[in-house]
This record gives sequence, structure tokens and C-alpha cells, in this order.
Amino acid sequence: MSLVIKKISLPLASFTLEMDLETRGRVTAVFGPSGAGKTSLLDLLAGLRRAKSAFIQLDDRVLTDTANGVFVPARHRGMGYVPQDLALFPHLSVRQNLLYGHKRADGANPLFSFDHIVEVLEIGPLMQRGVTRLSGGEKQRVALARALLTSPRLLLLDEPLASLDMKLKGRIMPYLTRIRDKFRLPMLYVTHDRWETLALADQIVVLVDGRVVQTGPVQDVFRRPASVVVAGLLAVETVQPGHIIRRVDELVTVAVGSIMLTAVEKNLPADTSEVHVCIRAEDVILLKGDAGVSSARNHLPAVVGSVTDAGPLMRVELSCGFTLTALLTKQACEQLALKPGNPVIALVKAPNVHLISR
Amino acid sequence: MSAEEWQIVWFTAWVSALSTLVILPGGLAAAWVLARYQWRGKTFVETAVTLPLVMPPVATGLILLKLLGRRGAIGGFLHDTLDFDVVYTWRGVLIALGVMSFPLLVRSARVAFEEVDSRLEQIARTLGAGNLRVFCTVTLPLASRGIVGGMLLAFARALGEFGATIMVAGNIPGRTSTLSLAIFQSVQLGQDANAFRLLGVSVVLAFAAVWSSEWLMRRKNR
Amino acid sequence: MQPGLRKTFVMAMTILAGVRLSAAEVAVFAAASLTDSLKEIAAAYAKQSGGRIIFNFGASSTLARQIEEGAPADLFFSADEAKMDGLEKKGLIVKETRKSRLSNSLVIVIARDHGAAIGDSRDLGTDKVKRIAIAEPRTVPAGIYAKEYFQKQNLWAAVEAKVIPTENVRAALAAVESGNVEAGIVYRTDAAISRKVKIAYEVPAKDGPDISYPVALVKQAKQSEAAKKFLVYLGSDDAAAVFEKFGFVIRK
Repeated sequence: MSLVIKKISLPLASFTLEMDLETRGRVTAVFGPSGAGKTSLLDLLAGLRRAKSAFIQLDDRVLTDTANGVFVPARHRGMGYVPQDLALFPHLSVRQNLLYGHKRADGANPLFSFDHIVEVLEIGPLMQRGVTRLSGGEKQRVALARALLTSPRLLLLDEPLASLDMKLKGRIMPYLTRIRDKFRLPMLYVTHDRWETLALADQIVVLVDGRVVQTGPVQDVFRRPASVVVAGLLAVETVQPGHIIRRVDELVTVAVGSIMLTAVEKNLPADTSEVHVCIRAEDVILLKGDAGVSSARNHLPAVVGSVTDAGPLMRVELSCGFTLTALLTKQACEQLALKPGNPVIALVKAPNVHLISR
Repeated sequence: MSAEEWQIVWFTAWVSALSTLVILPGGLAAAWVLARYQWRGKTFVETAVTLPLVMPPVATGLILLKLLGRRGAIGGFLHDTLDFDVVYTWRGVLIALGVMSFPLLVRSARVAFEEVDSRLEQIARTLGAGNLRVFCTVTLPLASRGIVGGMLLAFARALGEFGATIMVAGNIPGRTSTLSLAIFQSVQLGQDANAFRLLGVSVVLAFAAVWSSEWLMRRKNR
Repeated sequence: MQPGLRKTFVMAMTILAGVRLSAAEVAVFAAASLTDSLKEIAAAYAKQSGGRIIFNFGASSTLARQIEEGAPADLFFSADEAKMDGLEKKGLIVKETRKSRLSNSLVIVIARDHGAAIGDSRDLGTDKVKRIAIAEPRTVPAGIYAKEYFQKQNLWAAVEAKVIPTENVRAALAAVESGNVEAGIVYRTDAAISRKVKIAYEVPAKDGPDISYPVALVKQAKQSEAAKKFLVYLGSDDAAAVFEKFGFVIRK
């Protein structure tokens, strides 16, 4: 699917939403802090809101073109919308909610048939219930099913897991991946959670104060945030000031305090000397005992500062001349028997040391 | 209570009920527009709709009489081309009751519409519903309690209407005599016992209507 | 007392006294059909003797009811004897002051322009006439007289369904003026003051009911003396001339 969003100009409370964007991909995450204009963007795409200036095209259909007076009304846009508050109709049963937008067409894609969707989202037993008596997770699934039952060409999801606790998030996420994989339905997924983004999306658009600050494949953007702001948003855990010592092509030696690090960085301007050094916690490998020789260019002797719970993982704060954060599985943590004060060696591959010029 | 008195009660009840039904489409439309849209002359419309509530009923009745009489703008047309009379008939009563209770219906319905989460209406659109379908399947059901409450209030108002009715329809026994007009008449005739009987019925009807209206409007749907 | 305060006190007393003095107005409750004639008579009386009259015009039935309930009337001038009898029975009027010297006649009126073609009262029973305005025949004198007349002429059955009862006789007149009814029964004196109606038929005295306007002093009058004075004036030749001018009949 290709989605073109151009020439958007929509004044909001404290800033104007302005975008020029083209994205292809199965799941595109729209990532940004609250109030960045993400919901307004979805409303524009769905045709629920009009902007002074906008051009929106989905695949080969132009949906909005203010310059030429084109505006396809919401009901003809073929977009399934799951809003943040779910907006299930309180006066209708689950079944009635589901069937509200369902078109029964012969020769329709069997994937989008009523029975199939009910099966995939496992909402069979909820049919006759009143909407107000569903649990949070059940409501979420019903809202998803209702949107799917319109056989949409694009699914818009506004922070679908935001109001759920960690456990529930873990339980609903598989349904989303099922939707992505079984239905091959392109999704536009608004979130401020990096875990959801990493788990589900292949493309990411980072939106701050109404502007796109970075866009691209998820892994690339996470590894190489374009600015400290983006790095902060993407919660790259370790961001430290550094000073370039030597450069040979892409290979850069950078000093953080008195510690030398080796980085691989393609996109650094020639005369940069001051940089931010960004290392994602997932990219830090911990070794107890003798390091031997390894392919990682960076061996950092460190001392464990603290070990804290981070949901399914454990966050380990290390001191190696600067503060370095690592994320380990619980199992790994137990195996290494990490406790504050333990000496370890932190291994970081050169390409995982990302430099942003200052 | 004599047969004549029961006839008056019955007439009052059905013409009040009918007047409420007649103003329903217009009332809901006005309430909807006032609830959902903003425009420059909005305060003017709001005031115009509220006028019958605060003006002296006989003043409103006088305006209606001028419009609907045989020489009036509307009544003249009806009389000359269709040989159809409004004043001094039950149709005059119907219109007087409708006009006087219209503001009450609009106010209640407007509040009911405003309490419907517009997000639900928007989502219904993304699910493929056109404006009429959204209104009928989402807005109306969710606003129904407030609307019915408003209808009951309008009905109660119509039951007790006097000033405009007597101007437009007179107090013709058996044809346009309503409860309030009959009570007035009985007092004129010095038939206080009759008056109090009719008064009793009047109080019971009004009490029932307003009580149910309050009960309905207090219980929130969500 | 300080001089300034004393001045204010005297002024206040004077104003209050003035208010009391001007409350020596005679309150006359009179039938609607007497409106124009009585107003002219009162104006002449004021010029002559300085006495002020305030009026409450309406249907005699309404006025009688109000007096029963204690309304502050000094004189009651009714359009029929029955209403006066009712008050006399309840002891609310001073019997000795009661006098009946005024009479009237009934007429059928139609709108001056585009009026229905009516020759006499029989025409009221035809299809030409769909609505006839008369004062409420159950209570208001003008309506009672009209019904009496129709019954005497054996017309009541034919016209009963067409009757639009009004609050008082002037309201019946207004209904004919507005064009909302084809015809109306009012007093000849009412038809005379209206420019928008014309008389289609005047009920001859022998066919018509006995119309009589009694006047009396109300027992609970606040201004008995002034009222009695006005009562005497009402019986004078000057007043009689005005009544006759408006079309009333003076009975000796």
C-alpha cells in the first residue's frame, strides 16, 4: 500500500500540523509524544476533519485535494478506524456493533467474513453481551473486529494498547500481529511506546509538535536517531557527549570522558568534532569473567550499579567511566547472577555506537 | 363527573398529545441544529425559539390570531383557496398548544443531543453510515431518554395552556373547550364544584406527565 | 428635629395626604357595551364637578363574580337584571339605590366589506353563514338575550352549532370585524361605534328580549358619598342625552 500525505496545514491548539510524507509498508508506526498531532492526523486521513490545505492519496485514489476541491466523505474512504477510546456503541450489543459496518458482498474476501474475524479475535462468546460489561481487553478486540468487518483497505489505530497494563498488552499484541500477517492489511499505528513499535511496525514516522522529524525503516531510525530529541523519544537509553579523536572513512574513534569507543558512522559531516554518542540498551552484551577475543570492537570494563525490573526484561545500569544502560532477559540476569557492585565487561559492536553531531 | 366533563378531559388529552407529535419533527430538527452547529445569527434563533416560553401567552395568541385568521397571511390563503378554517376550530387549539410547548421540547432535546458523544457519530461514519443513518441508529437512540422527557414536558405544558388557546380558538363547548378553558368557564358561571373537579383532573394529569418526565431525564443511559 | 429633616417630613406627609385625597375616585364596574358612553359621561362629570371616575369594563357575569369575591367596586352597572338580582340576593348591593332606566336593542352585524348577504335572522340558519359570534350565552347578558331571541323565533336549533361564544359582547363585535365569523349578534350601540361592521338586521322591539341595564351602589363601597353623587348624575338629563346619542333607549 502506498500512502501519500502532502501539503497538510492544520492549525491545532499550540502548533500547526504540517506534513509532506509518503510511506509504503505493512505497518507504519506514527510515533511521538502525546499532543504531537497524531490523532488529528488520523482524523484527517479518515475524513473526519478537514484542513485548510491537504492532499491525501491512498494507493491510486485521491481522497483529499483541497487545491482541486476534492473531498471523499468518511464513509467512502474504506478506512477502518479504531480510536483511542474505542467508541463502541453503548446502546448496541457486541453483535450489533460488529455488524454495523459489515457489508455482505458475494465474492468478497473470505478473510473478512464475519466468522473468520470472530475466530481470529476470539470474540465468539461475547456476542450477546452489552458493550458496557466487557473488560478492557475484550472491548479492544471487539473494536478491532468491528473495524475489520468493513473490509477496509487501511486500518488506522490510535494508541490501541495505551490504556492496558503490561500483561494485557502482551495478550492483545498477538492479535495485532495476526491481523498484520493473516489479513495482510496495511496499518497506520499511532503510539508513543517503543516496544509496540519494535514489535509490530516496519516503517516509522516520528512526529513532534506537528512536524515529521524522521521517517524510515524502524530499525534504522532506532539505531540512528537523527537528533537528540528523537533519540530521547525513542528512548535510546545511553546518550553521552563525545569528542572525535580520529576518523578513517566510516570508522570513528570517539572519546567519552577518558573512555575510547569505536563507532561506525556513515553520515557524519566532515568537520564534526563534538558528538552525542547513542547506544541502545538492547545492543549492550554483558560478559562475566574473561573477555577473550571477540568481534565486538568495544570492550568496556564496568561495575553493576543497579538492576531493575522492566517488564519482561531487566534494566542494568553500569558504570564504565560513564553511565551505560543494558537490557537483559530475566533468564540472562539470573544466569549471570548480577548484583550491584559486580564487575562485568560490556561488549558493544562498533555499528551499534551511533554518533549525532552536536 | 358528567359525560360532558369527560369529553373535555378526553379532548384536552388527545389534542395535547397530537400537538406534541406534530411539533416533534420540527422540534428535533431545531434542537439538532442548535446542538451541533455554530453560525453567526445563532443567538437570534435561540431567542426566537424561546420566545413563546417567556412572552405573555395571550400576546403569542394574538400573533397567531392575526396570522391564522381569515384575513391573515396564512389563514387567508387557507380560507380562500381551500375553504379551510383554523381559528375557532380544534386545529386552532392544536396550533396554539404546539407553539406554546415548542420551546420546552427544543430545550430538552437539545441537551439530549449535546450529551451524545460526537465521537460515536464520527466512528459510525467511518463504518460507512451516511448522515441519516448516523442520526437514526446512533444519535436518536442515545438521546431518546432526554427527547421523551422533553415530549412529556411539552405535553404537560399543552395540557395547561390557556391564554393563546382562548385567543385563537375561543371556548366553544364541545369543540374547542379544553380543561383550563372549562375551569375558567365554570368559575364564571359560579359552578365552583365543577371547577374543582376539573381542576383535580388537571392536576393529576399534569403531575403524572411531569413526574415521568423528571424520572426519565434523571436516569442516564450510560 | 433638625430643620432639613423637618422639611422632608412635612413634604412626605403632604405627598401621602395628596395620595389619600386622590384616592377619592369612584370605581365603576360596568358592562362592556357601556364603554364609550360611560367614558364620555365621566369626562363631562369631571369637568362639571371635578369628581374622578375609574372604570372596569367587562362581561357583567365576570364583574358580578369579581364583586362577589370582594373586588373594590363602588357602583355596578349591569347589562341584565339577573346579574344584579344575584348580587342583591347575596346582600352585596344597596337595594334602595337600584335603578333600571336604560335599554338597548339587538342587531345582526356583518363585516362592512365583503359581508355575507343577510336580510333577516332566518338567513342565519342557511349555509351562507357558518359561524355566528355572540357573547357566551350561558353567562353574558348579551349572549343570554341573543339566545332568548333565537329561541323565541324557533331558530336556536338551526344556529346553535354555528355559535362561537366570546368573552363579552365587544369581543363578538371584534370577531365580526376580523372577518373570522360571517355574522354576530351585538347591541345596536356596539354596532354604532364600529366602523368595520354594518347592521344587516335590527331586531324589532316586539320580537326582541327585554333588555334592561340596572345600576346600583355596592354595599362595601369605599367611596359611598362620591359614588352616590355620580349615581345621581347618571340619572340626569345630560347623561340621558349622551346615552341616547350612542343609541341606548331611555326608559322613564
